[in-house]
Amino acid sequence: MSTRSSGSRVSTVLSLTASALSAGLGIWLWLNVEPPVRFGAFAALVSSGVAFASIFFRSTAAAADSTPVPAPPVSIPAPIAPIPVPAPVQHAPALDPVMLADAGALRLLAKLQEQGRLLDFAMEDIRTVPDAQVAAVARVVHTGCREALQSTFTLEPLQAAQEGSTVTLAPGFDPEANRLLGRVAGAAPFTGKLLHRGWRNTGAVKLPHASDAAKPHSGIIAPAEIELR
Amino acid sequence: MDTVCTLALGIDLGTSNSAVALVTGPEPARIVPLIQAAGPGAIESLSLLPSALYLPHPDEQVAGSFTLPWTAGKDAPVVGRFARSRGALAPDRLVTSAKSWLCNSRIDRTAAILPWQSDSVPSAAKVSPLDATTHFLTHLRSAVSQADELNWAATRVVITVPASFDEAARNLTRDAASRAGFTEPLLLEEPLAAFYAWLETAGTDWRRHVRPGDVVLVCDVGGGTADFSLIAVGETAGALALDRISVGEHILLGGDNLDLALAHALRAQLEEVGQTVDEWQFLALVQAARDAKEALFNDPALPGVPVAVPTRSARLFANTVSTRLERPLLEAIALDGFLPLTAPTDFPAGRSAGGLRELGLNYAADPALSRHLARFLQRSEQNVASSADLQARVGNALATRAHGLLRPTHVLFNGGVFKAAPMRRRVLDLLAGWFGAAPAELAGADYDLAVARGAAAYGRLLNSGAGVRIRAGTARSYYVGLESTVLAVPGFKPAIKALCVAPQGMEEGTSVTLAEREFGLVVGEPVEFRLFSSTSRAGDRTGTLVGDALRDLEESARVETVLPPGKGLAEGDVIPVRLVSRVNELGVLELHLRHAETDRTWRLEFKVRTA
Repeated sequence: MSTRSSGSRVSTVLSLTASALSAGLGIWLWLNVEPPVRFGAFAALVSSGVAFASIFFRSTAAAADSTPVPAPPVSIPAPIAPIPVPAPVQHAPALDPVMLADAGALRLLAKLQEQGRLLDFAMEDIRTVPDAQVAAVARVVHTGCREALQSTFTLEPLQAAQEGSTVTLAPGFDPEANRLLGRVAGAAPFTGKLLHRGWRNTGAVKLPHASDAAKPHSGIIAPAEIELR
Repeated sequence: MDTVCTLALGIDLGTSNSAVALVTGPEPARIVPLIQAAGPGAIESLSLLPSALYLPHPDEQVAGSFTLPWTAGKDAPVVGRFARSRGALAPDRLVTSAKSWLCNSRIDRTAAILPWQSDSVPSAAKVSPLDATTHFLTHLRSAVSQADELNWAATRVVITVPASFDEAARNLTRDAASRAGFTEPLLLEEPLAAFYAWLETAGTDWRRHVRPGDVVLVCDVGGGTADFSLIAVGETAGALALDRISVGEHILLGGDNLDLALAHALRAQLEEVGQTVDEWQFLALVQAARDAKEALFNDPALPGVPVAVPTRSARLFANTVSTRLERPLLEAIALDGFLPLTAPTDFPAGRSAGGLRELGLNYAADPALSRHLARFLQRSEQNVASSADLQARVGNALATRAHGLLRPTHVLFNGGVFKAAPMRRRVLDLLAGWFGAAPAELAGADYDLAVARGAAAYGRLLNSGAGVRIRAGTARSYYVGLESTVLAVPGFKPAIKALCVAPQGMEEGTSVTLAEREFGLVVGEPVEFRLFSSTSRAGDRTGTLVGDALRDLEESARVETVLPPGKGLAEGDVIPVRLVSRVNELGVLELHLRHAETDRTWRLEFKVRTA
């Protein structure tokens, strides 16, 4: 889906993304496209480094890697394809960057819980649960979390080669995108076995955001549910 | 419009989802991101706006939790994806399928009746089908303004409607659009929009795909409705010409019915082994069935997929039940249930009950789309056979008919159901069985968004005047009912005769006068006509008399007017008038009464209120 020309506000978001990427920060998960962050404010976040949660993946999006990247394996189409959110134009107070990053993390968590029951899955004690039941639940969590991730990020492996195959890293390879393991000695080119293909995000992060940017996040990830009869 | 339009906005106002596309220049239309509530205090932008309206309980939300960028801090109606998912858990507060209600002539479409039969929402808080449609269009307009700083005065707005919509439903859609702030929107039939999207994708190459004499079936099956149209390829002065020659009925049958049927079958499977599925789990089961269906359709090598359904409890491990969707079950329901290989003479059992029934109930009527398609092609054949004019334009299309059905040479698919290749293949197989050889498939690009894109492309075509236009005209012929003056016999309903007042295919800017009959009009008293229509009587001309309107025609909304006294007309005077039908420049059918002597006219308005 083209996000190229969806209006000036979107372009702002995209250019922010691009700046973040070219700043070499890669995809330390950038959770907080929280409006109304202006470029200056964002640059400040970048330099202080607090806005980036590295909880899930680490790789690079320096985009210098010209290797064609195959499409992700089987893509289960998300019911509705999200588009980057144009920032609303209300209030522009100085927001606490830490609070912004936290709100982004909380919203991602809320999405993973809503669609994939991630919190319920992780917070329950499963030592006594039979494997068959764990498997059944894993399917629920897998389907939902996958949908949530695919609708939020554009995820691609960093290496096109099959895992287990032999790859060669030319001199000047990107050390952020390729981690060397084992007997790391000598000089590039390095030839070795690909253990993990890596991951990176290549598009805008598409998370819901606050309708009132000045209001702090309540901390509620999923409401309690009470059935009335 | 006074200003020259340079922009075109296409709005696919869908039964289940809406989408908007914008063209600003020669490049293809782009989809406009639609801001909507993602939850209390949160918003998100999606390419589709689910046509769902949620009416929250006053205690349910903190004030200001459903604001949108354009509502200046005030709560907006909850429309979109969150409305749909939230509403599924409190269905009494959810309005869906407003569009199907809009074309239901048996209810008052301006009365606050939705959510239908809800006793949770007080009457004062309910909305009418017209209100709900207005909410969706208002939301769409605001979301477009938010995403793009549009010069509305230079923007041609094209809103799509089902081809099956009659004039009353089209008028209501226009009313909703003007309440939402759109000035002079054009309406375009959805299958035509899908075809314009195909023309745009094919570019100048399109002429290589079709020849004079070809007939394209546009087969559009969305979440809740199925809509068919036929487009004939002809030749005018050496150039290919396109003619929309037939439209289908409003069929409340779509992909959602299919997912529901799968979920019911999976529930039965679970219950067989002693598991129970409560109503909340069932909602998750419908979603899981949809995912499993897509997985199986996307990968023909999979024999089956596991389906696991949690309860709403946080105790995920204690309560999750699981089963499998095997391919034979999927094929039995999706292919043999929804698109069975029926005989060409096999038609739907009864008439569908229209929008009066909810999805689950309507499903029971006749879920086999194949039979609806057979009837559509039969009525199309009748339509063409009835009109020498149509036959002259469509070349040899009648020569290849079989079993009384018109034969399509090509199929253009649209709607979410046809994302699955096996569903497309099944339609082609079905037609091959009826006509001996399968029609060719016109490769469709985007089953969800083609209608919005095509509507925008059509708007650009009108702005620039460049490009091929499908000749359409009015999709139906219209008739006024004449109550017959026979003795009343208990238990016997006298037939109602009807006079054709507007033939099918009337184009913009034309009018016809019913010369055969003069009506006496009483000044100061309301005058009302029963209005009927047909999609399969292209041969009828103005003044054609139909002997049994209730059998041969469909009843539309009544039309009415009142002649106010004054200007030489006293209350109680009877004046002679004739009926004039006119299609204005926006494609709106208007019925007028004209006083022969003074040439004064009164417009007959569609009566959409029952009271």
